Amino acid sequence: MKKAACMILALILFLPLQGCRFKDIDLKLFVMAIGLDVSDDHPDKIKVTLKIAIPQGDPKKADEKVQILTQESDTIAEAVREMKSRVDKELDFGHCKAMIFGEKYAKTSLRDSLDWAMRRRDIQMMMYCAVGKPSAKEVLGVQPASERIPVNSLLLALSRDGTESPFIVPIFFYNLHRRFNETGLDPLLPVIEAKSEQEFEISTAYLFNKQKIVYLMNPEETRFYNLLTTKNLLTNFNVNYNGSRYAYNVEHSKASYKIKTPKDGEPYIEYKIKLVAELEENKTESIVSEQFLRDLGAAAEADLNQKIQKALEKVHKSGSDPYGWGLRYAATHWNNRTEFKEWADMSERLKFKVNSKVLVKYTGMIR
Amino acid sequence: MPSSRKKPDSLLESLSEKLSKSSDLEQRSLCTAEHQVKLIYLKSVCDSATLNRFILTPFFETESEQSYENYIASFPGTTSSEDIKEILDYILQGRVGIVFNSGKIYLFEAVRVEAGPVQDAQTEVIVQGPSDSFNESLEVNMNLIRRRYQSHDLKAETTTVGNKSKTSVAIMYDQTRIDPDVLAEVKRRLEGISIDILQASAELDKYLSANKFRLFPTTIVTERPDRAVFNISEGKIVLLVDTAGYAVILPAIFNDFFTAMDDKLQVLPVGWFLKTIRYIGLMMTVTLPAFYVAFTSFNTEVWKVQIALLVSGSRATVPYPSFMEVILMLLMMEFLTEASLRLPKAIGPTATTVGGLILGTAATEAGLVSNIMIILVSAVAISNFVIPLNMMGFTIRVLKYGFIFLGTIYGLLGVVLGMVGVVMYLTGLRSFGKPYFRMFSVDRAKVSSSSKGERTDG
Amino acid sequence: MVKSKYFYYLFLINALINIINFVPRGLISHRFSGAMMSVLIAVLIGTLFIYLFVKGMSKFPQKGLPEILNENYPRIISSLMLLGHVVLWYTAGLITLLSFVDVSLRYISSDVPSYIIMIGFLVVVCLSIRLTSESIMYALEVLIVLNIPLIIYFLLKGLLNPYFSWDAVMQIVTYSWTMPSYESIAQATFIFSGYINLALFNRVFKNLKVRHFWLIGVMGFLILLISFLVPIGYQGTVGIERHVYPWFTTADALRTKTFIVERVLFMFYFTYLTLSLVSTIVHWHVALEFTKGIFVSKKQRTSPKRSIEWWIIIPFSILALLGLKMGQFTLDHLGLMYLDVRFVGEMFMILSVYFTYWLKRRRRRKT
Repeated sequence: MKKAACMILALILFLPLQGCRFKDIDLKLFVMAIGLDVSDDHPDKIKVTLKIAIPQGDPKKADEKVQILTQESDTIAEAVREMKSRVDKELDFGHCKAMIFGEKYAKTSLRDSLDWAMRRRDIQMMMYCAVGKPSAKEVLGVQPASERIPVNSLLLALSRDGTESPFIVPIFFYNLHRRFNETGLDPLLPVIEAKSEQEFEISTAYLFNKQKIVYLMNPEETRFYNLLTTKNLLTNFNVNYNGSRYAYNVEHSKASYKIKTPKDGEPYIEYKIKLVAELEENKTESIVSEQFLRDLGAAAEADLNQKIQKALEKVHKSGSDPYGWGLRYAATHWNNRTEFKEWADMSERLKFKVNSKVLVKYTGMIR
Repeated sequence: MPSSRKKPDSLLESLSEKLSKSSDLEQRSLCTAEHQVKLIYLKSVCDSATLNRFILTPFFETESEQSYENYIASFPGTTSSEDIKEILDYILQGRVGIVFNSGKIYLFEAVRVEAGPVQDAQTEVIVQGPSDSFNESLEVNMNLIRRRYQSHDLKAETTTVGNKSKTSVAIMYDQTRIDPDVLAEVKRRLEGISIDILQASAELDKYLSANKFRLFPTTIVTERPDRAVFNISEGKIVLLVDTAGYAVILPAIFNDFFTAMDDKLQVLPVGWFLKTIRYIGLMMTVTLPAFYVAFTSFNTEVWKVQIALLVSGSRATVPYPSFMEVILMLLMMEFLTEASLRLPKAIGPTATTVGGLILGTAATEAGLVSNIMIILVSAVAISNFVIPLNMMGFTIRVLKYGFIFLGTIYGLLGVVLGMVGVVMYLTGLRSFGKPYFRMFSVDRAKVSSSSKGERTDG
Repeated sequence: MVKSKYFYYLFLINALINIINFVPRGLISHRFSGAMMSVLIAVLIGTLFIYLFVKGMSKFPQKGLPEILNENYPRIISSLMLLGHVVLWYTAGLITLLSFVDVSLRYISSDVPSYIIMIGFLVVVCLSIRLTSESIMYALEVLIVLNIPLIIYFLLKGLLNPYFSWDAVMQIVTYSWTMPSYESIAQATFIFSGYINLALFNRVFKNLKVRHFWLIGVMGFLILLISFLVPIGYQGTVGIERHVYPWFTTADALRTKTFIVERVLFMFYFTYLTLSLVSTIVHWHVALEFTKGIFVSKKQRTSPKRSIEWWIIIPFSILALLGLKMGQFTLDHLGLMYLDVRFVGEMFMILSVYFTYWLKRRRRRKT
């Protein structure tokens, strides 16, 4: 009995511990995405835009409710603090899944915003990062008709969970942070372009050196980037063969590269690409034969080799290294003190060779 | 000590004096021309048919007192005694005292046992397999076990417990498989019990345990003879209590409470599956409410965003914090379970319907409770009933409130703390010297080989 | 009495818990200056230590260090030696607790004051360390076996992720030929030092036979590599140094799509909280029993009353609560310093066991 009494007493003593900062889920507002822009009036101020989800009581109803808050201030932290006095509930960043940098902002520097987000305990590493065009605020304002949870359409696109577009480079926050710090690996960010109130397009990507934007990869280069860095990318390519156009769909893809430094000659990077493809569109009316598939493959190989080589050279010339060639060079060389210097020296003379192998194996459902 | 042989009348007098004011006391004198005996018995505990057939009728058929005495003494259940206290105990047990002129008293067994027939198991129902259960008679119960375990190694020792009730308790075990330490410990503890009345097996369980304040049952109380027999074969001790329809099995470890008797009837993968299901059920029923509190009030970022928004939306109208919501609904559920338990069978389902369906739906529609909560409470209730043995089921029912408490104070952290705490508590428990909770508990083959007190598991 | 397999659990708990006890931090700060080499050396030293200590303790079957010392040395010397070990063991548990309070504050319960979290930990730990050594072994087994599948899941998830940068890992591997410092070796050997708990738990082992020392070596090597290199694969060779809890940030970079909890971080936290509590319980149990060994009355050779335990536990707890006043950097230094000092302590322990054995044998020969 005494023991029981003691326990009850202890429980009662414990109760006041709870409660003071206890905030239920219905007293929180979930920030789904952050947008960062340069202020229009004061170029040294930051304009922070938050997209906040407003929960719906009835899950059967399809409409979503969103609140968009914008605040200008000197620092991001200050802007967020000021926004807190404009809403009725606690702002919660635990579900923040996307960080959009306005194009203008990205052209100055991203480092301070990365620092802020990295330091905050509640911001996840799994956040998607992208550049918003023309501004982050406008990108966040886009509300596609198919969207049921705020920002979800953006996330589905960026994460490849929903649409699997070969033109989208998904960049996680931790990945971006890593790229900003690593020697021999440079950041890149997909560009989200707000087309209208209901539509956005993601098909290009910005390349950075450690400080600012240096180059805009066009859709084709972006697709090549994905092809060279992702295994089994879902995409298709067109090829001209015998004067007419064909399209093939990639089923399996694999790409690898080696940095070669022959003693007598220029250093070069050799890419090996292997595609297994399926014929998807045939503009002629002829029936496809085995020999034809082989020839088509050969034509596609030649086409890819030339295009990819050009794309790689362009990227390399821009001075940014999103593929991480420098890191690979250092990782395969044991002379730790001199390897980066060597890399910098030979970087200017670097050539690219692309060796692709396209196997068009299937003709689709018809011959 | 007064010798009864000399004065039969004084003996009868002192007996009737002790049993005075008992309206069921019968004293009779039987007389024929040749001989005469006196009978003393309690008619409420004696079977009158037996009395008539084996005592009265033969009396008038025998010629001499000597041959009648021989006849009475030849019955297997008949004893003779000189100690007045012992005689009194026998009479109270349901024996007929037959006092001869010589002063010798015989105690003829004519006890009337009011025990129902062997019925189907009520509390531990299984799908297939034997369905009979223990009843209130010790003899019948021992019979049920003996029939299933026909080995000369099966021993059954009897003692009595209870100063007033004098309940006989049979200790049954297989002497080749038992751990002698455990047996000695059980006997020691049984002797140490000092209570007036013992009526139920569960009571025995309570008095046997070393630590009075404990959360988990360390003995199994079962009504299934097959479970008792199975456990005897595993080297455990079964205590059968007269007048109680349940057996106590000890020592019991945690895993035993998650074994249903029909697990062995299933093919192996199905058996594993069923066991896994029970442990998952255990985890769910204990932690789900606590996780709900933790995730809605502390760690809202744990959930996927879809679920977070759903919960947030459905909680929008709820006027109190999440832990109050959980506790309220769980209490409602406990009331329902308790109410439908005690209600007559005809009304039981009605209560469940009213409570479960109407109350649940109305509460959500009124916005007093969130939708998710109702799903959760039902899941908790259902998964609680997955546990095959009631004793453990009740413990688990209580345990989840502890977890809710921890979840309220610490959130996710508290739930983890609680889990580690419970594991530590369980491993610290001993059931009659045996570790209560281990990852890989003793495998069957080793038990039978570890006959002479050598515990191979260490 | 427990079987020999429990020895492996003792080894495993320390090996797994290293993430909390600053081992990755220490190694990461030396990643360009000999961490890889110290990993290799640590594997050799660690396996050797395990072998020596197990052999040494097997000379004293079913005796713990307090009995061994008290029987063979004058009271003062044995008490002093025990006291030294108590401090080491107590600190081990303390550091685990303190850093886990810090982790909890950062990632899970930012709303709960730190001292309340600490009280929660202390209640569980202090009630548990009073259990018998056997019970603690059983609990250790249960919790490790339950957690290992989860840990393997995290690892597979982490290593199979396409964003895991093998180049960064290889870059660190190419630094293998740098000579290591004493600190990094001492820090890396922590992985193996679970064996040292045998100093107490030898009491409950029934003829302990440890086979497969090479297996312990291989396991330790893999665990060390994983706990050192996986964070680098996610955060980059340069970015990693900025993270306070490299492993928690790494876990935050993982996600599962198939479960209602999306972020692996929380499951990781869950696993590591249980493991670090058990580890603290093991360490403090040893500390408690050693302290009791100091108070054994010499004449009767009986262990002191159970009530004395509370008088040991109370200062333990008070110190732990005071420890909360430490800043992040102080805790860091303390953690790393402990790792260095511990190494010496272990060597001393092994030597003292062998010396005692020698002493005992000489005495026996004399008589």
